[in-house]
Amino acid sequence: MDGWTGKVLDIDLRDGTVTTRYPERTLYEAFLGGRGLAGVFLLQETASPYDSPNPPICVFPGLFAGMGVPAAGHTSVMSRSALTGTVAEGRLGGTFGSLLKRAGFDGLVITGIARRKVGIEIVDDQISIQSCRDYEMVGQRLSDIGDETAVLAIGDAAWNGVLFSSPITDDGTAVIRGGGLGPVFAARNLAYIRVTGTGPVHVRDRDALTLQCADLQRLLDASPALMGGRGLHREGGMGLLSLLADRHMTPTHNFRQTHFVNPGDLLRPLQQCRPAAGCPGCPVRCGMETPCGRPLPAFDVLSHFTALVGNADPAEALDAAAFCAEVGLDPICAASVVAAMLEITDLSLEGGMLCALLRQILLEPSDQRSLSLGSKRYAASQGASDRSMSVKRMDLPAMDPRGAMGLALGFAVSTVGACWRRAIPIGYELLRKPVPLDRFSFTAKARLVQTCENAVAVLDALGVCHHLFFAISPGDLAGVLSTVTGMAPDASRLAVIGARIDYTERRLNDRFGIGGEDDLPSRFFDEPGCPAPGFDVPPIDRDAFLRCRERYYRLRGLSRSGRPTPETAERLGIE
Amino acid sequence: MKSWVCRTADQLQRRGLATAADLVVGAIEETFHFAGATDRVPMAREIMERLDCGAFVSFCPVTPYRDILRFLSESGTDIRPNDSETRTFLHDIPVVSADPEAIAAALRRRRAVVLHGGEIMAVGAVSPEEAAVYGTSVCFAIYVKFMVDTLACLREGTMESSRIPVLERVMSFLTPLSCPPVRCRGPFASISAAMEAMEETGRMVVENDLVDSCFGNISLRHDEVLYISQTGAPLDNLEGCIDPCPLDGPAGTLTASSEFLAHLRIVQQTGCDAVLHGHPKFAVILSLDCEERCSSRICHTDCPAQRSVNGVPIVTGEVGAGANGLFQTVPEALMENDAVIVLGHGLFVRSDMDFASAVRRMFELENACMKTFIRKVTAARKQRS
Repeated sequence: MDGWTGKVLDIDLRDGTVTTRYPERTLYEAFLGGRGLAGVFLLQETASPYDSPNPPICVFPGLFAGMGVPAAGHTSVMSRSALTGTVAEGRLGGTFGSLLKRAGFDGLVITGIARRKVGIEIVDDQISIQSCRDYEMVGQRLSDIGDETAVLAIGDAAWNGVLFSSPITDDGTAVIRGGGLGPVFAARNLAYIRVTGTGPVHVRDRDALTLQCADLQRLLDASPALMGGRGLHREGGMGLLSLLADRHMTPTHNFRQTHFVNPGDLLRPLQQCRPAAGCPGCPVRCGMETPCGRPLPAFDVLSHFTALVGNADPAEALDAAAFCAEVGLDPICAASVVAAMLEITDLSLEGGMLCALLRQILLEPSDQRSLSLGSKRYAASQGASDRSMSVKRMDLPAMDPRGAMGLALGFAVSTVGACWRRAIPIGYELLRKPVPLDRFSFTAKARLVQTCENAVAVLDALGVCHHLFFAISPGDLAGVLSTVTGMAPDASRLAVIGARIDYTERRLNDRFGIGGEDDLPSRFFDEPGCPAPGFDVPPIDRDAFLRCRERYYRLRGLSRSGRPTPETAERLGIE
Repeated sequence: MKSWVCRTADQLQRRGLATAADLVVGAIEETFHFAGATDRVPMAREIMERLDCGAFVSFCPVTPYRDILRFLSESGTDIRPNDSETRTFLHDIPVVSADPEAIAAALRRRRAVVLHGGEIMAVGAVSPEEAAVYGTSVCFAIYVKFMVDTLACLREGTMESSRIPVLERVMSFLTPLSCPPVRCRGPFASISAAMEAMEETGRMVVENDLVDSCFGNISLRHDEVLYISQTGAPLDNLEGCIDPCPLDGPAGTLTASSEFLAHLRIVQQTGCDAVLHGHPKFAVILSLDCEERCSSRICHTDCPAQRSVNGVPIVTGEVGAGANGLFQTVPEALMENDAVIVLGHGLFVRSDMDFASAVRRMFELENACMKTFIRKVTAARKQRS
């Protein structure tokens, strides 16, 4: 099968059995890969708690992984979140997905609970479950890797039961929005997945693919957000950090304010940062490092470890981010629970306190858990549930929703809880691409969020980095898809696939008992953001928000309460 | 939403591209909203329903665009534009029959299509303005393509008989541009005065058809800050769409024009204060008029020849700041010249203190290029006859 290997591995950790599934081509064409396939395989299992043998951990590279398509090597890791109870989808870049495809597999479906700590070893078509009795063995295996090997593992945070722990990759970064997946691995005694892949990845027409990639590259080059003077290619996320600050959308002191300090002033010690190695084959290369070689965290991590918690020391923010990466803590959730705690206890951070708090979270005894349960459970335990800035128990990222109404709606209706990467309406609302929309208006925002969600779902299924959403739409990838698989997609068909992927997750959440939680914390409807010269940041108009959400439900084919319906599921071809 | 579609319809008419009787603009939120000719609404609605799209524009452009479109659509084959922006963002322009399903099928592949007989249809995901931008891009693309192909046909002796009346019709509309006086003169005492100069210049170039509204860009240095139009900003309505970029700070903003780096380097390397970038048609047409038969994929990035038009150098360069970006070629060329044409793309002009000489130069060059085009056509036709 061109584009796909045609094989999905079923791995049962309970008895170590490994079987191969051969999905029908119709399934592949309906869900493509990555997040799409991960969701449909997850849906085939029961709606059990995260620490039961089911639901499985689904690891699926995007369809384009391993093919040389620019910025298209991402992998989705999906299961039921220990933190939120919803579907959880973490994303990783790097080489993992490409190598899994080169090993000959479109994905992994991992079920069961191992009797002791194990790792999954995949060396091309040789699969084994290796026992690893103590953690040092895992450390050795993680360091002993070559260019054709990649590792996904969990760290101390997951083993210690921190609910927002996340898997980490061999390049030392946490899986993006992987908070809640760490405990799922730990509950199965799954320490790591290591893959070596040396085979080719077949595409239908390599020459035509090269031409399509050149057209794609032209679109990326034309994007100021990607390749411009302050774009990701030249400044990592600093440009976006500055833009959010200019728009007074910087979450500050647990979202009590929306403006901290000028990022230029705050990050001046880091202004000599230079581009670092990015994901292999990516022309954007958004990674940055300090002059002494420390990786600069993503813009949202930097923002949360400074403004959100009221820390004016960028060095401490770097230390906090590095600690999270080392032990496998989702940095957004980590910063958020600290911010909630500071507000509830009316404390302010002092020097060194941030990292000390993170260590405290890591080492909380199992019978005294509070912060390690995440901001929502912590705040509720303190009788201050409304001080958790989260949706469906997933903490808000580094963009204040009072600054963009499409963003606000997107946070509320996202299947994984608050996440800016689920819909990415900021392309229209902040970056003026493809055309500018009034960020303070709800006009057309229901359709905007639905359209963007469908588009992002397609990108996720193809393994395309979210950043490319600032420059392209799925229609721009139709030609690539055709040269790879022989499918003849168009923008409309891709939109249907995106809708199908999104709706599959809503069916999952419905099965998990999640419903009626498409909302934002009351703070955003009651309190204004910080005014700026030339504009105010008012609270969100609650009535307008609810009307917009209602329109969104209708567009999405959901019930009045936001739950999936059998009719829409059938129309989209979902069981 | 209703005001949105009406505003878009007004813009198309104000730009002189269509009359109210020949256009329809549609958008949907809870319900459909349309502006324009009521007899076009049923077709528009049907196509929007088939596509489930948020916005739609359809118009029969005025002459001479209409004549060109009818000619180009006669063959039934997709139109492959040669100008840089259309190549990058629209790729090609399908030609379809007036059957709603055929139209919808084509619009599922591409953002804009042309019907046999010369109607343009375009879609937007959410905003009618998005659809309008794609639609107006088609007008520019087909004009440039027709004229470039005509020059090639004349040179090679392959002129179709059906092309001749169209050419004559198009040429009958050619009149030299009259450069209006530039009111805002430097040095500028304040930021607001500087911005007013940018707004005035932007209006001037759009109103004289030297660039489509949401294309082109403009910058002005004032007190060591480079003020530049935002990406996608309407040059004829720049109020609130200008970003200040300190010259000693980080390189611009995320919302600055995609050609910010070019503007920055021009100002830094030439010492000028004002930079104006437009897409005057005849400058673009003549830049594409070349006797060599290189692969079109090479022309925009690796043209081996040193070419010029009316003494203005032509350089290669793609849109934006990638490896082949025009920011690599334009600034250097402007060190020795006050104007540069980017092959298949447009014209950059620079001036000191204010936009007066830049505007004058742009008008003068476009008139010169128009004259050169007419001379080439006349001479070639005389030779053939």
